[in-house]
Amino acid sequence: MIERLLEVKNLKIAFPTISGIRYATHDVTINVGANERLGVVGESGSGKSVTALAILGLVQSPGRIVSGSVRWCGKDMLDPKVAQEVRGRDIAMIFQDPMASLNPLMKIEKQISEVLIKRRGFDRSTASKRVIELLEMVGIPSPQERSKQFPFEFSGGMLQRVMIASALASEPKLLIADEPTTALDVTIQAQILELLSTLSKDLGVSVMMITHDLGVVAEFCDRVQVMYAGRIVERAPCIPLFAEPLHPYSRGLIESSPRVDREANSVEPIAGEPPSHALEIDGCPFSNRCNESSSRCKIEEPQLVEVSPQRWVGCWNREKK
Amino acid sequence: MRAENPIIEVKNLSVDFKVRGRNGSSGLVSAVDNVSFSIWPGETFALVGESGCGKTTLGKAILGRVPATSGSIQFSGSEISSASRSEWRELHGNMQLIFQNPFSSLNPRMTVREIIGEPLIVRGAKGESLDKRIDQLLEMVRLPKSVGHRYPHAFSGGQRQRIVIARALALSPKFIVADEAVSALDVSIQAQIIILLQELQKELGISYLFIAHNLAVVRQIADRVAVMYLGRIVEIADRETLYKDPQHPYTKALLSAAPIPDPSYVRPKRVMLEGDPPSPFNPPSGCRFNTRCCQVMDVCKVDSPPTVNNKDHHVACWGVGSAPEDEGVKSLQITEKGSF
Repeated sequence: MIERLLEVKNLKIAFPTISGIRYATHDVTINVGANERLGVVGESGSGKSVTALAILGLVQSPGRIVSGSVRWCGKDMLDPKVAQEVRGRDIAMIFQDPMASLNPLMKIEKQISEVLIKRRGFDRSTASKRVIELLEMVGIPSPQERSKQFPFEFSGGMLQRVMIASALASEPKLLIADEPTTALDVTIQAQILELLSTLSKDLGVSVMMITHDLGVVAEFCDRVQVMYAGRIVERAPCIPLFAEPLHPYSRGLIESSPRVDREANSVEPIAGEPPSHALEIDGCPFSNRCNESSSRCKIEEPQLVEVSPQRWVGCWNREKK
Repeated sequence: MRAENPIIEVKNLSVDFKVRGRNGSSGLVSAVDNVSFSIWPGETFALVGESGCGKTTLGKAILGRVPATSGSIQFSGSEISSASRSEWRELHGNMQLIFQNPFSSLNPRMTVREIIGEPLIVRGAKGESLDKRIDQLLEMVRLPKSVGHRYPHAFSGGQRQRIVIARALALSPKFIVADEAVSALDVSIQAQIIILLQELQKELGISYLFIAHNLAVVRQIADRVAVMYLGRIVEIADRETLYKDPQHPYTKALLSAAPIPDPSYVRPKRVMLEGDPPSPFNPPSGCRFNTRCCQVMDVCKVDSPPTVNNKDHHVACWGVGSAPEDEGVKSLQITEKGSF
């Protein structure tokens, strides 16, 4: 059994809206082990980013966690003091838009050394040396000069490397990457994924990769959780998930993703639209788009159950007989 | 095979922008440099490339939204690069644009019917015929008539893109520039819109210039594909040829970089590009790809490669043009630089 680092159990995050309390996630359960790469895949609004924020204790008011637990190596992350300790040290995060996550008025060196000084107790001169090592590690050419530059002097791909360097500065055990390559061009995306892959192996960092792109999941992750309308609908190791998706939504997602190696007219869209957050849903949230739905699906919501070893699915039609 | 004339014919088109530096110095950025291609009636011609390669500028130049610096653009045989404002008013009935972001391209204070009807009203439609046409347009994009009186905020991204498409179809255009039309949408919705665009093309015989950065999406929709890099077209081929037998090293790298949603897929050795694309303010001399190319030769750094046409497969690369392999040699013809 692999060592469990992060344990999220039945997490429910609520936001007040004009039409009453609405839940961004419903009973989300996530475990991340040591040296593991977990993919969290889903479309916009499926609750994947807010889950990541909740793990770090960063859900902004008026949103709040109404039930469930988040534990990091056994410690309760819902305690703000614990979260502050762990955040940025044991768990680091990188975001989609590196330009928006770096301070535009601060030189790169200062931004990264801040982490080293605050989180690892380095003094200023050792920190500067370490910054250059880190920039070199993430493949930034002439790191000495580049560390004296401001974010606007970097390209998008280079900034994402800076973000990775800064996230890894505290030597975290888990890196949460929220759509880290979505804003980048495809040739740069390949570079960044390759970099994340080698670094996570070399440094023994687990990665939780949040993405909407099944291609990124397939290339990077060991295990996947598929999210839909705030729920986890399927959880499986990567290879069997793609080979034989159990949930109709996972299957729909795979069939609607275009592939460069597939001929034209091979995509099959999922009919309809994801449910609006403004509405309360009875039954399975996917039932109105699902071609297998029965009357039971409209009334009762299925729970995520383990149907075979390591394969979890939340669908009435996949229940063990 | 192609008896008709092309609907769009672009010849040696260049678009330069004047820029001013912080120190007051001014210079020229060549956003589009000497590109040529034709789009045939009923065809989807895709333009792919990374951000900053000039694909959007090229699309805008064809629609007269940015002035061409040199070269010619013909629409159904008549020159439009120097058309006057009143001529453009006519032309815009035949040439329309679909934008990437369906959230910012719809006026939040207009209802769906007002949005779709606006181009018709501008051209004098009113009364019952206007209403009928709007109903017809809603039906074309598979939206129920009942949504006509709602405002854009009530719709999801996919539905908004349908409204944008309905507006673009209002004047029955022959040619539509779709600039990243599905990029902002979720995959399950993306596939719906791609299929809608294809069905509309079959029904109405429209030609599309489909501008995109996602090669997987392009493979679903395009008949022919042009690959752009730093303002130049490096390769044009029909879809299957381009995906199965790419010639230009940049095309190969782009295809190889695209992630494939299948963990059991075994990738033939990945062509990884080093570094970032150079700045268009100061493009490299010779072939613009030479700074990142893995097959770079001395000549690439000095001279721009000519475009070689082998059975409608156009490639601008010294490595390809000078060393043709098979029986294609006989049909090889070196055309004028940059012309397709």
